[in-house]
Amino acid sequence: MILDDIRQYLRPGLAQTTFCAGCGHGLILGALLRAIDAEKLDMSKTVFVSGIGCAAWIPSPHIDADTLHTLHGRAVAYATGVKLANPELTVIVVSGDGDLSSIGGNHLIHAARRGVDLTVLCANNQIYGMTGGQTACTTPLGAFTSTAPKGNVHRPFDLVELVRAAGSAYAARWPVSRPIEMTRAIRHALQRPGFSMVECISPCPTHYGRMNKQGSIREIHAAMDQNCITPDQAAELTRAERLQRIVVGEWIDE
Amino acid sequence: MSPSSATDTAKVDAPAQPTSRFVMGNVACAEGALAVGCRFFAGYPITPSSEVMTTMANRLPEEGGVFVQMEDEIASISALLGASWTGAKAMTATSGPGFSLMMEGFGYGAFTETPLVVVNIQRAGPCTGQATHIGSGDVLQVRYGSHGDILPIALSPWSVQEMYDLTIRAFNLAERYRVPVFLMSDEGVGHLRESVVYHSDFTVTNRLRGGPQDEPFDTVEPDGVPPMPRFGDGAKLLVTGSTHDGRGFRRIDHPDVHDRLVRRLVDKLEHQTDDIVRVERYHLEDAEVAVIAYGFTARAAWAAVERLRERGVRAGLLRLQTLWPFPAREIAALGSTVKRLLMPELNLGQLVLPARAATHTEVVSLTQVNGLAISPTTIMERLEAIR
Amino acid sequence: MSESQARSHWQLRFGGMGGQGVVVLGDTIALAGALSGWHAAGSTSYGAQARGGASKSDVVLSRDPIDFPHVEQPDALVLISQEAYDVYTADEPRPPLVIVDSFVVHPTELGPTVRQVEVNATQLAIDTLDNRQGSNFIMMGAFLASTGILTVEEVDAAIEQKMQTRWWELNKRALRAGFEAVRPRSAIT
Ligand SMILES: Cc1ncc(C[n+]2csc(CCOP(=O)(O)OP(=O)(O)O)c2C)c(N)n1
Ligand code: SF4
Ligand SMILES: [Mg+2]
Repeated sequence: MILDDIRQYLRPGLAQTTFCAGCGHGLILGALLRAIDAEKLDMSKTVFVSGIGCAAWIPSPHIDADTLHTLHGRAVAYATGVKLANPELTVIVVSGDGDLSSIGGNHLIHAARRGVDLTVLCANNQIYGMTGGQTACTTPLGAFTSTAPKGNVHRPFDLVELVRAAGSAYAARWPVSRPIEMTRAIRHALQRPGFSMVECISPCPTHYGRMNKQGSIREIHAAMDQNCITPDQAAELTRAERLQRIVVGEWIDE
Repeated sequence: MSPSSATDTAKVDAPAQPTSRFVMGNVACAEGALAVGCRFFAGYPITPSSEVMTTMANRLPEEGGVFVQMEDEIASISALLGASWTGAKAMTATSGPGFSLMMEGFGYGAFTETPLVVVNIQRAGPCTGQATHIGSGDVLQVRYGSHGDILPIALSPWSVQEMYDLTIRAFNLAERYRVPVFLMSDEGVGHLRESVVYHSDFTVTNRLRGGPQDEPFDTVEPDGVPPMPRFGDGAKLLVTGSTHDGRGFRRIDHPDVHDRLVRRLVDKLEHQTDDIVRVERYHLEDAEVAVIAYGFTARAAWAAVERLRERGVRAGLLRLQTLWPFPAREIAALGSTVKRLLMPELNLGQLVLPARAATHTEVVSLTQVNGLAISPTTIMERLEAIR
Repeated sequence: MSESQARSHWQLRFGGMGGQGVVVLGDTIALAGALSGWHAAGSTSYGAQARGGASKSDVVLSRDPIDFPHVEQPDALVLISQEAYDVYTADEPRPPLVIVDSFVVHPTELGPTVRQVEVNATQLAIDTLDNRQGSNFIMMGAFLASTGILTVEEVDAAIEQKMQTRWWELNKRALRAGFEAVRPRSAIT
C-alpha cells in the first residue's frame, strides 16, 4: 500500500494505517504526499491540522511533520490561529465531511470569507464513518445510513458551491478513483494564496458501501468514476439531478 | 493599603505618579496582557467583556501582534490553541454564554498542555440572563464545566490595578505550568474605573522549549511539566486531544497511559499550591468573625469589615486572589481561629461548598443573584447577626 | 467652602439620558480627582439604560484608599434630564445637594434637607458659548462652585488629558461660565 516515493514523508515506526480495507482515506494521504513532494514543501515548516473522525487520522500520526489533531469540527478554526500567528508556516487542513461541513461548517465558510491562506482537504465519504455510518450533511438524497434507515430525506450540501459563495480563492473536486487529477488539484490548491479547498470524494465501504449495497471496492470505484461529470455537463442538469452526480473539476476565483 | 496585587502593593498608593492612569478594568487587563508579551488575541464580542477586545484590536497591531475577530467563541478558543503551538502567548476575553461555548476547548488546552489565558468578565447568568449586570455564577463552571477530570488555575482580581497585575500573573502561570489560566473577573471590576500603574516591575515567565531528548507530553516525575516545542522548529509534533503517550502518539486503549496522564495533569498543579494559591488577609490577627470573599464582592466585604472595626467589632477578611486550586489550607487555618465565617457570593452559594469542606467552623452563605453588587451594609448586617 | 475642603470622602452621581454625556462628566471629575491626589473610582450604568432612559455615572473621591468603589448614598447629584431627576431624587435618604439644568429639569420640592441648585445651563450655553453642547461642562462648573471639591484648573488638567484638543477651549469656557453662574449664590447659602 505504501509506496517508496512517499515513504520519506511518513512518520517512522508506523507499520500501516488504521483505515478499513478499501477505505478511500489512504488514497487521499497518497495524493496529498505526492502533491507535497512535487511542490517540494519544507516539511519542517508545514503544519497539518485535522478534526475528529476517520479522515482526521489521515495526517495524524501518519505524516512526519507537525500535526495538530484537534476537536470535532474545529480544525479550520485552529488552523486559522496557527496561520495568523505564524504566517511563515504552510498550513494544511485534512478532515472529514462531517467534521468540516456539519459541526465545523461555520468555521469553514468564515475562513473562506476571511481568505486565510489555508489549504483544506475535505475527505468526503458522504457519511459519518468513525461513529458508525450516520447521516452527514453530504449524504445523497435517498441513501441509507444508520440514522436514515428508510433513506435520507434531506438535500446534501454542494461543498464547492458553498466555499465559493463564501469567497474561496480555489476549489476543486475529484474522487479517489482519479488520483492523478486529485494530486494535481492539491498542488494547485497549495500554490494558490488565500483559502483553497479540495473536496476528495472517498468511499467508506464499511458503512456507506455496506448499507447501500455498493458491492466490492472495484465496483465502488467503477461506479464512482462513471458518476463523474464535467461542469459543462452539469449545467444541463437540474439542481436535484446534479446533486446525485460528482461534478469534477476546479473552480478558480480571483 | 489600597487594593492591589500581592506582588506589588506600593505603587497604587501614589495616584498622581506620572505613569498612573485612570482607566476601566477591562482596558487595564488588555494592557497587562500586552506588557507580559501577549501577541495573539481572538475573540467574539460579548458584554461586559468587549472593552478587552476593542482595546486589543487597537493596541495589539501596534505591538506587532495579531488580532482576529472570530465567528464565535468556539472558534476563538480554537484559534488560541492553534496560535499557542506556534509559540505565541495568546488570550481571549468573554462572558457567561461565550464561556459556556468554550468548555470543550478548555479541556483540549488542559489535556494537550497548551498555555493560554481566558478572561471571563462574569455577568448575571444563567443563560443570557442580565447581560450588563454583575454576577459570579461561573466559579464552579470553570472548575467542573469541561468533561473529565481537569484542574484549572483561576484568578480573581478585585481592582483595576489587579486587572493589570493578575493578567500578567495569569500569563506567567500559563507559561510556567503549560495550562490554560482563567482570569475570573466580573462586571463590577471589569467596568470599574480606577487609577492604575502600568508598571514593568515584574518578571516574565516563558515556556521551556526543550530539546530533542525531551518528550513534549510527559516527564520523568509523575507531576512534572514537560517542555513545549513549537510548530515550525522541526520537532514534528504530534498534538492530540486523545489520550497520548509522551511523544504524542494516540494511546486510546491503554489504561495505564490514560491513568498516568490524567493524574499527572492534575498533580502538576495540585502539588504546586504554594506557588499558585494567593490570598490577602485583613484584620484577621484578632478577628472573631471573618468574611471570605473574592472579586468585586471582596471590596464590599473590605468596606464592611473596616466599618465594623470602627464600631469595635472584631471582624476580618480573607480575600481569595486564587480561586482554583482552591485555598483550602488557608481557610482551614482561618477556621481554627474564628468563631464563624461568612461567604458572600453573587451566586446561590458556589465556593462556599469547597470552603465548608475545608474547615469544621461554620461557614454561613450569603447569596445574592439580582444582578446588583452586594453592598457593604448587607455584609455588615449579616456579620453582626452571626458573630 | 472650608467645610467642603475638609471633607475626605465624596460620593457623586451624574444622571441624564443615555447618550447625553454623563459618562464624560463622571470620568472627567474622577480623573481630575485622581490627578489632584485623591483616590478615585468611577462606574457607569450600562445596557438598556445606555440606550435612553435614565443613565448615570457614579464617582467616589476619597482621601483614603477606596474600599467599596460604588456610590451607596450620593453626597451630590448633578442631573441633566427630567427622567434622571425623577428617578435619582426619589432615593432615600434624600441627597443633600442636587444640581440641575433648569432648562430641561423642573425641580419639585424635596424638603428642607436638600439644597437644590438650579442652573439654566442649556440656555447659558446657547447664549454665551453659542454651542448647546457646552451645557454639560457648565453643569460641571456649577458643581465645582457648589461643592468646592476641586478647582477649575484641576478639571482643566483632566480635560487636557482625556479629550481631543478641539474640545478643550469650549469645555474650559463652559466650566468657567458655570462656575461664575453659581458662585454668588453658593457664597450666600
Ligand atoms: C463534539 C463532538 N460530537 C460528536 C463527536 C463524535 N464524532 C466523532 S467522529 C464523528 C463524525 C466524523 O465524520 P467525518 O468528519 O465525516 O469523518 P469520517 O469518519 O467519515 O471520515 C463524530 C460525530 C465528537 N467527537 N465530538
Ligand atoms: S469506517 Fe469508513 S471511513 Fe472509517 S476507516 Fe473504515 S472505511 Fe474508512
Ligand atoms: Mg465522513
